[in-house]
Amino acid sequence: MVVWALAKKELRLLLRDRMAVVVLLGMPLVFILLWGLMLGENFGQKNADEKLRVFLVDLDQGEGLSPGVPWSKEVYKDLNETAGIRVEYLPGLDEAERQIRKHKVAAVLVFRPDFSDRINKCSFLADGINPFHRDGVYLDRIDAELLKDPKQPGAAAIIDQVAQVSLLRVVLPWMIGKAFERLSEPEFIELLGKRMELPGPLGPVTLGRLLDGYALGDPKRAADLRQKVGKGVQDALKEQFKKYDLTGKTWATLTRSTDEAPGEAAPAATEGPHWSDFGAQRYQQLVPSFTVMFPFFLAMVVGWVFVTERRQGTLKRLRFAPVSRAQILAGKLLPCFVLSMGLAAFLLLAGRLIFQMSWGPASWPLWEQVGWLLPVVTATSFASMGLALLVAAVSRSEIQVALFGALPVLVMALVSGCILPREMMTGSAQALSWFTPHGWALAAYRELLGDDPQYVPDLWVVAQSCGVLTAFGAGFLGLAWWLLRLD
Amino acid sequence: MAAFLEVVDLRKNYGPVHALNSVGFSVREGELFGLLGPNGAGKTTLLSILSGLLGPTAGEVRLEGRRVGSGDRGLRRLIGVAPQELALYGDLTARENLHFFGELYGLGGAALRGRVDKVLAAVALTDRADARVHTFSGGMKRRLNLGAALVHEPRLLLLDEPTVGVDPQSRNHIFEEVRRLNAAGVTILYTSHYMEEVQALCPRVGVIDHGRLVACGEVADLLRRLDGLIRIHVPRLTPELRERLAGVPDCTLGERPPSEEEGATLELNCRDVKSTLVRVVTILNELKVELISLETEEPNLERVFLHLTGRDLRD
Repeated sequence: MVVWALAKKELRLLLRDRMAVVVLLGMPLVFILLWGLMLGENFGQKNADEKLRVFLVDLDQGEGLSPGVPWSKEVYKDLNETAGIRVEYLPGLDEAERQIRKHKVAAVLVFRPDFSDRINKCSFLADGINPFHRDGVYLDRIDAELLKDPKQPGAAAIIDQVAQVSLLRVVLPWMIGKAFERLSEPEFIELLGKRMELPGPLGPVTLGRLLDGYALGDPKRAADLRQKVGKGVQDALKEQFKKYDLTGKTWATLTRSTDEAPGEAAPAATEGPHWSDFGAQRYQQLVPSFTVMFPFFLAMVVGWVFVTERRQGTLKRLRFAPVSRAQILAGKLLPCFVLSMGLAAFLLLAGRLIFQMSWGPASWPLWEQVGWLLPVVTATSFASMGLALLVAAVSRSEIQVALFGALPVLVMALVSGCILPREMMTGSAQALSWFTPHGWALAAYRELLGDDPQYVPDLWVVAQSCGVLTAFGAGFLGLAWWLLRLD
Repeated sequence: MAAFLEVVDLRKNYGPVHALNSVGFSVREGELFGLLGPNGAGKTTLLSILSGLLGPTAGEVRLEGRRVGSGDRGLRRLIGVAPQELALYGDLTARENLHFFGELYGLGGAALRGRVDKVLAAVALTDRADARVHTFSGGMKRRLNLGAALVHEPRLLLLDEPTVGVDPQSRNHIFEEVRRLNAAGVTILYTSHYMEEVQALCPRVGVIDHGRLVACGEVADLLRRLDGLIRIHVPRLTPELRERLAGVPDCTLGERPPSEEEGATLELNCRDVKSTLVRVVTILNELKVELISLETEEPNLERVFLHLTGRDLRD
């Protein structure tokens, strides 16, 4: 009853400042909108259609598998048919270097003029080009180059690996197919004839001699026999490895993967971010980020409430009354908790209605989505409430509230990934985020909030995050109880 | 009759500073007890301990035989406090303030609403009941401050300088309310540095200075310790005049040191100011003395304070 009276009074005082309420609710929405507008397609994903963009410069002047079609086109085709990749050409090397210098692209794959010639010369034979090394393909040996932006090492590394895989898929089947063809050539049979020894009545005899013996000295017949051996070896290998077409010179034919649908061709890229692109992936990240961040700013509100109460003498009157210290604190914290829950609910609802954010897997019914969001909101509010009381406990003036409240909350928001996505941070920075309640709240939201029907959230992650958030709240409250003085 | 409020050898130290030093007194139920002392004497500290807000360094306070400050929250329901600093929520209305404070003491529902209306009427704020307190004048805030101490019908009311910074109308209103409450049986402890208030309101007072209770008793008894004073200012003091005035019975004649003003000033300390005044005027008429001014001063608590401490109450 007393706690309820105290809480009612606090809520009444807080809500009586209408401008403050408008700012409290409106500012996070403005932040989400502005952030979404500013970051647009570069936030979280590389483009509005959520595919990885790979840029090419094609200077190749040779021919590949088909007449008039250079090998660079085979690489382009392979990249283009890969799911999640969108390939775009840049007009020339100068443009590529300019884009790199201005940090607009992370990397550009350049096919230089001799690319096709070099690929044609790639072979397992000693006189061919060996393009492979432990980690992939030597670009310089095949007259290709990957221009990289040193300021975007992570993204450039991803594109490097994508290019390597594509090149491997183009070059390796070509080399296998060519090698397989050589099995029936006279040179190979000759080599085989000299190296293979078979037991004979008078001791070991080479295959070549054996074949010559069967040919009875007829060179034409000897050649014919050798050809048959070569074909037989090929046929036997084909039969042995019938899962693969060793004559195929492309990945698709080698792996007999014609029944698999290739990746989707990239649609035309949209030009620049569009502010009304409310269903975009970025809002799936922005809304929970600010839903986590802003309730923690209520720490300053509670701090100010305590300082004001002390300054205007009413805290003394509360202490005259038959009200315990715990009741006074509970009465002050309850409105903060309710406000925090209300703010989070408002932002999630706004996220759904305005920014078309989903609340969970589409396969879940609404009650299940809400049912899992509720503990996250509650645990986050509990943690923010604890921090609020801690700020109130250590602050003696409005300035101290601003210092002890705003600074830690901002730092935690930054470190945790509320302002800058965690994926864009270094490993050590990401590790730091786990020392903040914000980091755990974000982890829970990101686990839950997804619209992919195939995606099933790991509810243990959500439960674990809620537990840690509750522990944060309890820890803050405990420390605040120890530090807070009502006199 | 057993004391309603008993203060026994109370001490309060803040480090080397002795805010209260062996203070002891008792108050009967239904009494209006005044505590008079200058700023910094220890009145507010004493009230803070009586209300349970502070704990004493030594000594104890008992209310109806129960120890105050021992965590007995039930005792706090018996006590109402109007602190010296206004303790009101500026953004709430008068009614909301009183309603909230009533709820803290366990009141609610129609009973609380009725009680709030009564208190608003008692402090003459009914017509401003639904206005926010930050729009009130200082006097109105003081009245509401008092009202907040009354809403739960306390049996002991502690008033700390309730008329500081208040307009005369509000002041009178507060006095009336204090008398009315006392007449209704509320025990009141009224602290002030205004001698006139305490002397007018309280039959019994304690005088406190530098943390010590230098006097305690019925006002009449305290005043009886001092003589009245008649101050005579004449252009010239003749030996005959001096001799005649020195001969007035039950009086002692004193002469004030010469000042910049012309003439001489004589002071007659006497038990009965009225009858002595008649004799003085007769003497002056007989000697045809030209009189510049004539003042009388009955014994008052300020003079008692000066007599006890050697300092003015307003020092």
